Amino acid sequence: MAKAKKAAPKKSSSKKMTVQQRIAQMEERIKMLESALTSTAELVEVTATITYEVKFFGGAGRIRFKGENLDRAEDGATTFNVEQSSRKQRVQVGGTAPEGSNGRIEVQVSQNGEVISPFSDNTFKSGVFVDQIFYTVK
Amino acid sequence: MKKIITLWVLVIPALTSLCQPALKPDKEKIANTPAKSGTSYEALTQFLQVNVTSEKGGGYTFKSTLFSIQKFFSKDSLNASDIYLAKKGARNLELGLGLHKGSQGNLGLLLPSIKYALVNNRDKSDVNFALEDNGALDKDIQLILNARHNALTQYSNEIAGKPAAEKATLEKELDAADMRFAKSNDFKEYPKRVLELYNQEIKAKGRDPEKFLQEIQDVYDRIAKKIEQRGLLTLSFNPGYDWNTSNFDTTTVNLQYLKGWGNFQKPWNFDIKISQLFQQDTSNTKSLSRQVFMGKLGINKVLVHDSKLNPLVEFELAYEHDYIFNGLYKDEDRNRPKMVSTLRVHVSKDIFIPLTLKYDLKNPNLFGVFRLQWDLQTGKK
Repeated sequence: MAKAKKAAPKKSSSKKMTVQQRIAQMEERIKMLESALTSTAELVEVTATITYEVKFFGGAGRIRFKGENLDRAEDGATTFNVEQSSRKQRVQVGGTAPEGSNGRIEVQVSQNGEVISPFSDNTFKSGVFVDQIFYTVK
Repeated sequence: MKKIITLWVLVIPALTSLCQPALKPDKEKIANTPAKSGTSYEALTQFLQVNVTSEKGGGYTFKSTLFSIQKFFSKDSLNASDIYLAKKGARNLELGLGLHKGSQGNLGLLLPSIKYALVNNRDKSDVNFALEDNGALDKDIQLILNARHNALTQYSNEIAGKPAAEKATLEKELDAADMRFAKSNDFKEYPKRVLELYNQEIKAKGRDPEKFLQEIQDVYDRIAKKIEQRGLLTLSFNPGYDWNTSNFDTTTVNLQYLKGWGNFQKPWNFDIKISQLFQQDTSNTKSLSRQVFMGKLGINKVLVHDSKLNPLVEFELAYEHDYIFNGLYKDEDRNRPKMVSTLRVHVSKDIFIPLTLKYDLKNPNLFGVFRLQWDLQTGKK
């Protein structure tokens, strides 16, 4: 008897839903999926290779750089690469410019060969200097 | 001697009262290196130097280093630091040409000169300031860069957590602050919160954020002044040629050593010079083989400087002794001791006026020399 009283399987609740309700439920799920995708994209930051070209004129000096993935000192002309996120970058620079006549340190920043911060914007002349370099990584 | 003392007693206070220290700029900006003392400029020029002298046999002198002449023709390419530092020999070789009054009082004496700095430890362009004083300057610069970077990064992260509308407004404000900073180089352009974070980090290192930049400048100036106290040894050769008589005139060989000591703000300098003069009697076309040895021991002192440690007034007192080896004139003393005092007044960073008074100790006689010296340098600063 007990077996006979075996509960009949419950009918799916969806069957009780109206078409409008089902559409609303689907839309809700789509929104959740979209939200999950967006937050995943935010976690995976896009980075790019940025090239620094440094020139010294008029003797000995030093320049220091402090920025995203960047913490180094240079005592002469050089070129180096750094990986940085695709956004606006504020790189702190400081050091001592060479003391010879017209002594200076110049810095140019480029991404894939395209100059994103030119020498003309980043010329450091004072004996001792503290400044910033601005650019946007694409 | 009394005359000299009286004159200086009158002249020095008058000049010092005119030379008031420059006002301290209120803008947050790091300034330039202090200028050299006049003795250094006279010992070796940096770019191009012009002298005008009023003394007997005075005239005009133009001096320049071989490197400056080369650079003039090659524009800026030689100034790249790798080449500049490699050409120390050319930078230490000074060439000059003077047109002076001959014995007959007219401008006809050509005085070419060649000078080489055998030891030049006071050329600031050879020194990486960041590595001096156990890297004191470099450590301070590192601290300021880290503090600025951390403050801006933390502030950006704080903005990122704000609601979209507020975030957009604050980001705009930060971008505007960047623009203002790019023009003024003043970190105080940034929002209050950024400055709070920056000040916290500087204070945590036991430093005063308000005075920190000035402290960095002070360290730089101290290093610059200490470098200027280092040794400078020069050897020069000046053959004279009288254009009017077509004869060689007085030719000199000089060895000069400068070394500073004491308080770097108002330093003392030893000025030691020995010279050998080969003199030609211009009244006679035949050489007299007259040879004079000259020794000078002087002490120079910066009396007044401005707030940036640029010397404004310097004073040098020296004992000079001439000894005539050959070609002694009739009734002439073989020994000629003199006291020499020079007051150098810096009109600007590149122009100064040395006023020299000489006093003959054996045959008391006071005579003065007025000179205007102008060091023409390219506008670095």
